[in-house]
Amino acid sequence: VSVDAVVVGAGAGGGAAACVLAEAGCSVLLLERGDLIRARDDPRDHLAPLGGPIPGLDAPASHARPLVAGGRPWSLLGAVGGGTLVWGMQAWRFHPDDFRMASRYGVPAGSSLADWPIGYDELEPWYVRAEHQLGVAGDETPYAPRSAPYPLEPIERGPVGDWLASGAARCGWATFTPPLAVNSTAYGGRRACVRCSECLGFTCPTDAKNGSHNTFVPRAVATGLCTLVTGAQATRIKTDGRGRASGVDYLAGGQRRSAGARVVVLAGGAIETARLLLLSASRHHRAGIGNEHDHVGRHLQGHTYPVALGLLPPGVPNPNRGPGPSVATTAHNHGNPGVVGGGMLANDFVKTPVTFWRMCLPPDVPRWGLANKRAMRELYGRSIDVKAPVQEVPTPENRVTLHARLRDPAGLPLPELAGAVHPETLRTVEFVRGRLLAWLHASGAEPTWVPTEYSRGLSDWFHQAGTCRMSADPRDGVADPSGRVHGHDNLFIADGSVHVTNGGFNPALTITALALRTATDAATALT
Amino acid sequence: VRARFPGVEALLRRLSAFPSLDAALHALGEGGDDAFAALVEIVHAAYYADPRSWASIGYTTHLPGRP
Repeated sequence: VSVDAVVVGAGAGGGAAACVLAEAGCSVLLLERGDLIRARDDPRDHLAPLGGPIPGLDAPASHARPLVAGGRPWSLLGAVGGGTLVWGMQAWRFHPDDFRMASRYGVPAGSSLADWPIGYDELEPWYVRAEHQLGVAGDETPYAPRSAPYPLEPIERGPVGDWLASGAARCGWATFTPPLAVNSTAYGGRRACVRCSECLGFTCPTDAKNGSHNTFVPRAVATGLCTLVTGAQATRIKTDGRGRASGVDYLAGGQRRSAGARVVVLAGGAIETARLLLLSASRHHRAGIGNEHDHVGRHLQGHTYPVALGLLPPGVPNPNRGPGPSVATTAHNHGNPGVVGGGMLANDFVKTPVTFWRMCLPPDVPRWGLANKRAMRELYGRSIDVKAPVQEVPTPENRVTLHARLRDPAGLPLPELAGAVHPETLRTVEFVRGRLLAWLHASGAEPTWVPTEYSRGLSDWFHQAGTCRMSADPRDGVADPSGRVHGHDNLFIADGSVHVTNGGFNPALTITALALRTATDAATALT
Repeated sequence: VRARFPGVEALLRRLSAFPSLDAALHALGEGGDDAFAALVEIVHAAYYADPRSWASIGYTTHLPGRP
């Protein structure tokens, strides 16, 4: 097979990149290790969001999952659409200061905090395209200028949102409706959201949740120029002696295959893209492709989430209807005294019962027995939780490497994750947790509590970013400001691995916006 | 539970040594028994993941044909 472009991964970035390339008239081979999952195939297993394998949705058994140092497996979704198949739909733009963290806060000891080589203004037009092509419902973006309104009206805020907005106002914080990639009315040929409670961690039963799987990928395939191959694991990027990518080797249907390409776009996410670059070492690139300055796999980051819970006062009904997040404030993303950065505060998705039992009960409630059952009955329907994705201070020691011994079924080294959350991140988390509790108190919640488990140490288990960060100077990163791998003019990256920092927001819209921009450059180079 | 917790058989054998189930559970819980804590975690996960338990705490999916 020989095509204009091979795109590796059909998630938030890869689907968008394939769509841009195919609609520009390029032949595209889109490789996805997972399957095309329909809502009817979703087992709707409530055990799934607990970090274990997601039956039918996790990476196929034949594709081993990465390991955190110490042996805990890391959950990575493998499906057309990637994380956007089951995401919580929060489609945030980053704050302008998220692109200039080092300039604003300095570089904490032991960290690799840096500015992006591009700013918010450069990305703004691509945010507009992403919002309109994906379908995002929202009302405003008070922390950053925008050149066009959201394509969809926001989802109704509801009584809990109104109650929390009043509490925030008493704190002096402005609130607004979180932008969600969900059809508040029919859009893109699909129905409006029915407000069920199975959103985060589930496929949408009515296809009203917007993701790469039902927007960009179908558009790409509809051109007749994009071939989607599922169950395909990329094993190596092929290069010629001059550093140009010449194609991709991959496994599909138990067969080793190879595709030639004029352009290669990597979009496997921050773990698998770094792994593939490292796996592609050769005599020309002994440390892996793009790794001349030892940045591939480093600066791994996600978000650390402080959470606070409280009991709603009588008279505030909690209908527990989806999508869930209905009110947010960006009063604490930046400018917090004595700490680096911060995060957006919002209420959370409807909790499944098992998630509530595991992560949300007050610390003084026994883990079993009559008192536990009573607490579940009394607290589940009357409690509310607020949380914040605190952006992490990256370090070079938080990284993806190839495991020295363990191999996947294809015989390739497993990715291994190592590192720890930077102390400055933990200080910010403590500050933001205090703001979350203050929000609940001001709203009238009584009592309030923080759950016993809110972090897993090394980042969290989603929103991975930073392992192939972009930089103007090749010595400082892996990709140039357009997403092209330094020194490889036809090899691009279109996923969260290019993020220099990960913002105090859910990052999927930024991944999509960057992918649209990068793929447009790639298409221009081809055509 | 057996599939997710291979140690369950050994734990059940230990329980049989107690004069009553209630006494056994409290002894294991108060003793900080790691295997018991793991079993509690798994059993609760299985219980609250089961749609038959949802009505007891007021959870509903708001989906036709689904609890």
